[in-house]
Amino acid sequence: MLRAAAAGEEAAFARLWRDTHPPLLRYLRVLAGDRAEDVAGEVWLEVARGLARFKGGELEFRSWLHTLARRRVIDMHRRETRRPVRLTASAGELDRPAADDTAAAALDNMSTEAAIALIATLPRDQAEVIVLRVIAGLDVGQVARIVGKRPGAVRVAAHRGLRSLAARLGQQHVTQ
Amino acid sequence: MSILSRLRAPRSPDDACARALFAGRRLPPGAPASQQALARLLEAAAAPGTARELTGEVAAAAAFVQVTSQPRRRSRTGRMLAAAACAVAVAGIAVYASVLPSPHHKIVPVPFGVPAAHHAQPSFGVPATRGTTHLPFRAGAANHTAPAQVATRVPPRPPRREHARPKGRAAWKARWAAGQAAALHGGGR
Repeated sequence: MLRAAAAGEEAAFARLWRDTHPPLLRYLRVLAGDRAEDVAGEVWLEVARGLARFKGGELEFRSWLHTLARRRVIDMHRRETRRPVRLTASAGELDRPAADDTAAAALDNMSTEAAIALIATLPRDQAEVIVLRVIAGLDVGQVARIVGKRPGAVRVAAHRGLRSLAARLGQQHVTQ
Repeated sequence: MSILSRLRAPRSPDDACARALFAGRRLPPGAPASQQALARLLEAAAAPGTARELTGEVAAAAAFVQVTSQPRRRSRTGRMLAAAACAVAVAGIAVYASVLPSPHHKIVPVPFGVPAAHHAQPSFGVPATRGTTHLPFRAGAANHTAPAQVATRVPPRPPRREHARPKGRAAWKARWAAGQAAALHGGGR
């Protein structure tokens, strides 16, 4: 499929997109929030440009895809730092549910969006590692290369993230 | 085990449990409820793509076709032209280096404090009166004490003695004229 897509076959690219876009979008929701769709579009454009030169298997492709996504998010944050956008608070923004409400929603119906929203409440490094390990299906070494940390640090961050999630879910069980 | 760690223990997944969670395997039946909930949460997060997430497939495929159908930015002709330009530049530099005029070769060792090949006599830090290579950055009295210049100087000529016999054609003529005059005076006596 990858070779066919690299050769320019539209159907192969569409299948590749179907398989890898949902995990990418969830990863970007954790990192970029509401702008995940925009960043994902930029990432796929970059993939389309560089796919002919890509060499590797499916796992390497997923790793490359998430590396591109991470770089795009970093670029976006840099742009925002240079030119900060000041938004006036609206009633809808102020009415956003807090982390506890997100946990409750995740426990109630366990929808994908609620689960991602709960993971996004973790510290960024822990949330990123958990998404890459669980949703993108990457191993510790690949995650370490993507986030620029040692494998030991990735394991620690993943374990802490799981512990925090378990604690939040446990609190919800107790309160319910 | 302290009370605090006992309270925390059921909530924190151990290594085996974490490995099972990351691998997507089912937890053992005796696992705590919080970990079971955590497993369900991660399973929901890793669920297959929803219809909402897959709405952009047509647009992505169209963008892919548009990008792949565009001609490459650097064509083969462009690459060949760039290579030819590089080759011409390298050849020009090589030719220029081979036909450098000789004074340029002579001044090359000067900035490094090494005596040039045409300086036969070694120097030992004597201030220069001649033989020093004059370069624009060497002008000024302060430069005479720089160690890099001392090594390139030629020892000065000793001061001319006033009582020494003059040399050269003019001196020989003067001596001959004086001798003639003396002979005339002597012959006259």
